[in-house]
Amino acid sequence: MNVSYESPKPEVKVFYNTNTVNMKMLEQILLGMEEEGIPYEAVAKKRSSAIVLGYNAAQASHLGVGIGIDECLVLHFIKLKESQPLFKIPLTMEEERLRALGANAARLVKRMPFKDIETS
Amino acid sequence: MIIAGIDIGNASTETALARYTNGTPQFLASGIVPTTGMKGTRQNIHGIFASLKQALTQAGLTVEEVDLIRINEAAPVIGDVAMETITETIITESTMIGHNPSTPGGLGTGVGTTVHMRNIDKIAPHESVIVIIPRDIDFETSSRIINESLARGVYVNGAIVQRDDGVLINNRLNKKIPIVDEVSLIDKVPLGMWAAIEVAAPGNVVEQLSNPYGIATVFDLSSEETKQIVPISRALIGNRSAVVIKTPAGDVKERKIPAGKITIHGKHKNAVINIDDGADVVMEAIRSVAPVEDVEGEAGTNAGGMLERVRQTMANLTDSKPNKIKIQDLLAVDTFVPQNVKGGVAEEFSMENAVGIAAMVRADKLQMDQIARELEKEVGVKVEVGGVEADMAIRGALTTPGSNKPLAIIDMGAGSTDAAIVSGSGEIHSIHLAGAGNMVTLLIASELGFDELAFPEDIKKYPLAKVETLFNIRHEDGTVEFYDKPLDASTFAKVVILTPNGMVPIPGNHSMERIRAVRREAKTKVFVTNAIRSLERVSPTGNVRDIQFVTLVGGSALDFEIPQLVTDALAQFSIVAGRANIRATEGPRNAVATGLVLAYGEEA
Repeated sequence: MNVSYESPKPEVKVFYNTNTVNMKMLEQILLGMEEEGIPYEAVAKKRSSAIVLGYNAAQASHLGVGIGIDECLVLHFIKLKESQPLFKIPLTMEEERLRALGANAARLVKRMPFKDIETS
Repeated sequence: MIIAGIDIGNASTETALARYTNGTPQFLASGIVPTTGMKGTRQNIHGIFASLKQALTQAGLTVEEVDLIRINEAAPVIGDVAMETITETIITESTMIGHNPSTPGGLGTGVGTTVHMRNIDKIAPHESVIVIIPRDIDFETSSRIINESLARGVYVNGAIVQRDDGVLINNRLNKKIPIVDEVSLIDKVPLGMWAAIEVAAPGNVVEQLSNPYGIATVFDLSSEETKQIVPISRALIGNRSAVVIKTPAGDVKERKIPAGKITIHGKHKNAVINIDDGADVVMEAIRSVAPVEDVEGEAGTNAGGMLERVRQTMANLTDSKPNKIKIQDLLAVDTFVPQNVKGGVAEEFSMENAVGIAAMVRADKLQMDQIARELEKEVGVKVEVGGVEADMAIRGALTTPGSNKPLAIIDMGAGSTDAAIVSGSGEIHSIHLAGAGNMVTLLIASELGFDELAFPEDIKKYPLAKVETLFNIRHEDGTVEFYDKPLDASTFAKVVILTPNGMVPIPGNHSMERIRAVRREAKTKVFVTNAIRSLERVSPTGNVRDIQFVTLVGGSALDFEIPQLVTDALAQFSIVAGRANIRATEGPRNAVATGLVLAYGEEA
């Protein structure tokens, strides 16, 4: 059997606009993924839009799951249309909600029911 | 001449429309609408009219062309259901925490004295502790303090955390310790007490604390003390994480709630039984004193209260005095109810024993004659009351292809199960039993822990599926169905009910297999039990085997699996049982309405 040890690590990608993102906000999202035990990588990107960043992140991720942070927060999945992300919520500093977004990215990979983030 | 047979049932009002030429009926159309108002009351007239109208429109006829309307003499039978738990579990002084946070931290078993995070700096080196971390201390602070304490020589052997922080804390510790998180009522955890904590690896369950000797080992218990902690270890079986705390007076008790006695008055003898003895004993007593004339509960007990509630509901519905209401059949079923453990700290629940009871009440004769007169006035067509419901149903059921006399029918409705048998010579005998569709809903609701009945009703009626990805579901039988549009995020990874209006996600963590098992078992406990019970009663010999053909009619016969469950169970008695197909076109519907039309021809 041929196993390529160079294949990229399976991780959720987070693409964020360095100008708008508050590092505290990013950190809470990453913590949400850590608590669920899914690896991730955060990458600083140039100004774009959250949807485009999220979609590009999902394409870059080997798990097909990406988060985009710019004028809002987007959780995207590679099999969805670019214009129709899974979750799209406004920028917030609410810890619980940010962690839930990260947790949901992980849960999409783990196939577990999502935490509620739309109504909180 | 044109004849309409109209059957007013508990749930629906059905019409059969036929033209008689030279004494032979030719069926033209059928109608079905929900029954308006309580069966046997004046409110039914709106439904009767709508149902008739529906059939007439189909046949291209008007009301004026109808020569005769025949309505049924409704069986004055109503059912109700109730549930009573007969055990409860009480934790005194918070001696255990057994719950399943989705992501506990660390691994292994740890033992130590419980200490609040803020007081850990007062602990001397070489002491063993379990730290308690409330919501206001975040994971960074707690992991830093634990690391400092470990460096100082304190043996921190475990942590109990209020937030969903277990993995985050664990990832920042220099030494791996078991961490139980999402403990909601953390203030109730006693401090300064000896405690043991265990977290199992993913996919495993706690082994040490679910074993009485494991707890004895940890706490150095005597044989007498070990006996007392059995309920604790039993309550922790199957959890991924657990905490046991040793307090001087702490205890977990499993208590039997005295449910009380009921007295069954039969025609010739009485029987007195304890509800705590379970459903089997109750059913045996019902069988032994049959026919039942009334059932009474002991005043001031749960059993008494339960039967009085049924009586009261029935009294309200029929507008009569509660003491006039006679309970003439009971169906008792053993079941489980998930109940919050009293004194628990993480909203633990345990499955408590319960008894579900369906009661059948015979009300005064319903006012069918009055309905007939009013209907006659309103539509200007001659209306007559056409005979006993069971007789009509048998006539209708005999139009099922492949059926023959002697034939039994089982009418499975919402409130009661009715059975009738016609012998080879045409004699008809019928009975009414407690327990039907509503009882199934109640059992599903109680065993899955639903407070209301909307979800359980849907669970009863429709198949389940598990949403596996955003684009596919897996059905109960394992087949996979794909969708070209993404499914709603609220259904992702959940068990859903496939209703005609789309997928409805079921709240809670029940697996599809468990919900399916509960559903099928509830249907078996009610409908298979009642099918056999009713056949025993109507069979001329008292033996189920002496009946050859059984057809199933009524709303519950339309269910996607009840007919199969009954067919399967009755096949053991070599009975041909199956869903009726009235006039080869109507399925299990329209039996009584069809019978009303046919009976006219026989009378003429």
